[in-house]
Amino acid sequence: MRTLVTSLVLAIPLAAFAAPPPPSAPRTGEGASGCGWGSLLFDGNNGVGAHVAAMSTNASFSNDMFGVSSGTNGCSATPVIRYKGGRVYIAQNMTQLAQDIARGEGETLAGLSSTMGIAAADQTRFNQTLQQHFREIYPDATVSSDQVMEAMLTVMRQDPRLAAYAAG
Amino acid sequence: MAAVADPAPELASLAESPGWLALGHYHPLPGGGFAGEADDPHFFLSASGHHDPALELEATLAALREAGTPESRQRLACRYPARLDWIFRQPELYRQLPPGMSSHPVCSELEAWMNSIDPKGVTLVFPSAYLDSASSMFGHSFLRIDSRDPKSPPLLATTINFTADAEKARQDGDLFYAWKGLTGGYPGTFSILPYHAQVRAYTHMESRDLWEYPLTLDSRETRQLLRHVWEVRNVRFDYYFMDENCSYRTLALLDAARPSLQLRAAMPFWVLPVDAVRTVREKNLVSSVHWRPSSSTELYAHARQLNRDEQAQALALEDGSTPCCDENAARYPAKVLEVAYEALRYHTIPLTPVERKKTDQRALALLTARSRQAAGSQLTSPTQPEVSPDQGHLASRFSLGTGFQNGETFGEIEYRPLYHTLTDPAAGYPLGSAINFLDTTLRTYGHGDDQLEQLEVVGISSLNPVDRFIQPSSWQVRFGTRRINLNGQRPLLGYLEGDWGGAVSPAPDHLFYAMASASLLGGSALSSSIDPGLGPRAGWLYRHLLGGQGMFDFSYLCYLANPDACLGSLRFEHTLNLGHGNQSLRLRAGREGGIGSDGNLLSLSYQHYF
Repeated sequence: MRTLVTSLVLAIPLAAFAAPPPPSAPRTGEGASGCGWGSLLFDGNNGVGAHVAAMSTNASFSNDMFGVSSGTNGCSATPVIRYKGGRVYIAQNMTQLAQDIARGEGETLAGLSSTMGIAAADQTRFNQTLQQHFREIYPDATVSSDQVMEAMLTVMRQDPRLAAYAAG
Repeated sequence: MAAVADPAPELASLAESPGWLALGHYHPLPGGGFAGEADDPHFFLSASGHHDPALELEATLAALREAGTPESRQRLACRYPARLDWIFRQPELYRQLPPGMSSHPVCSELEAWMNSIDPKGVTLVFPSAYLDSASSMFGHSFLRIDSRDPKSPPLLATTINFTADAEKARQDGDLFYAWKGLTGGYPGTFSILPYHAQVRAYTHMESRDLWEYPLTLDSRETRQLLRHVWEVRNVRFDYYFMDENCSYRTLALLDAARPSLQLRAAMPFWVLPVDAVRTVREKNLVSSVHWRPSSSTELYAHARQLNRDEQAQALALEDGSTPCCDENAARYPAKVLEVAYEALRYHTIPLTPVERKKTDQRALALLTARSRQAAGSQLTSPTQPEVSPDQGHLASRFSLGTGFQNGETFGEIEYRPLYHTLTDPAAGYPLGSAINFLDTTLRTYGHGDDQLEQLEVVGISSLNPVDRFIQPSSWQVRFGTRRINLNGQRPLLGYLEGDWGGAVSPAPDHLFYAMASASLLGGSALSSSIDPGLGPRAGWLYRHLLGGQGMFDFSYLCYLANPDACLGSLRFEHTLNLGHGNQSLRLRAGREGGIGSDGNLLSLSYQHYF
């Protein structure tokens, strides 16, 4: 009885610092990089617990941004120097972008329009058009970032002012 | 590597100038000489470069002199761009270079990278404390490079981050991780990430607020910082949690950009992220402060903008008891749909992908329904707190007090190196969070005894209020040694205690908690040597009342080894804030149940934070 209670007693404080379970997948894979590979619409912590994730956030991320060509997983083979290219941005911001487009505004959406070179005068039209066509851009929760990009470009091409940005 | 003669005297003095020491990450040793903090031999050209800045400077100059072809000059420029830039700015060194070398060689890959960034300046970013993880409980530091283009969104900016290698850390158990983290057992390296990745990780995945401090470094200094980052980008610096950590390394980068700052030298023995911000402020580098709320901070604020009916609607949409929403999307106000979605995200982010998939359709349905309403968001963001974390009281505390314990007068001295307790001056600290390290109290009694009253090695509190949308748990952990009333005596006993439960915050500055409390006492004074106890704990924590903040705490623990030993304890503590935030007056009153005898306490202390 005493052992049981003693171990219960010890469990309460130690639970706060429980040893993390071994991770099933590298944290950097899930939605953190890549163009269409592994970038889910609704991302998260992989279920290893915020505790372990916290150890990771104050720890190193993938260090592949230094002019190393990311010619794998369907990404463009040219070195990503300044993260330019809507494709990469969408892959890295799937969830927040969908939320901003649904609301017709937001910082992540502004970041996308900047990446795609949308002029200030066309910003509102860009936001509104995407919002109106949300369903076509996000038909279901399993869309990949490439599909999102393609659907976005298709929608833009149907608009006389936005078509210019969707060329190529 | 060329053989070098003894460095000339002017070389030696230049090698010890702040500029060269910053680029080599050297610091002076108390007995004379220098130590380099880079633990990668490839960072140095000279075999003795790790401890001899003069030899390293001579070796760098020799390499420059020997670089005869454009290709070899390019290679050197790509390896040490910041060093070369610095060398070319020192007239004494410039004179020693070959006549054909009028301007310093340039690394084209680096220049392309810098031009794509088009740097204007640097922002120091401070993710706030995350108590659930030992490595994050003091926050973090990293730098964001701001672009000269005012229309360039901050989310696309480049950030420079120094961290310990996560892969190795994750495989170690917690205690081993703590030990290795403290003793440099993990390699640390710099990494580059777009700011949106950091914002996503901190504010969404971990619900931590971000504080941004734009600094007054100019474009030229920022370029030198980027050149130096290029030099150290693959260099290993062993990570020491207390002193050579993320904040220290971040300050080292700022020193490289403007060596006259000498920020590293200004730091005390341990380097807290919040102290890094304070140091940078003291050197007049901070031009403004900007706050980026976390997703949970936003959810708390947004939920309050709905009335009770709307909240009920949002909850039903979130858990699916009201299906969403195709035909009748318009009947839900946009803000209800938004809060429902935010709450659903908050609860599903910690899940595994398989579990989260079950709610994906619902999340998408909420967003789709929202997209049908063209208006922008009606919800407003939470307002930036008046006081930023660096403006809160300083981390160390010294107290001088007097009082009565069980009827006897005493004088008391207390020293606590880190960090913040529940009743310390509240400004800049979140309600309900506390971290206590090595809190030591000594007393001298009227009858002549001098004794250690308490040494709390670690004490952590994380009290978080629940509301209709978020139900976080509240917990506390503490261990150390303190005096317990035992049969008329007050022997020192070791304690290891924890509490777990919930809290509510009916008004912004008040928190009520109720928890299950567990305690393990140990010591030779106990007949059983070890005594576990269990029982309830409840309390009230308040701020902005009576010139300060305070708490009432009640607990009733029944210990097993002594059948009749149920110790009821009632404590009251109020701290009056004085002056400019680094002094206070603390009043304590309490009745502590003991084994065989009870005790009463009344004390008044003057506290100074430094």
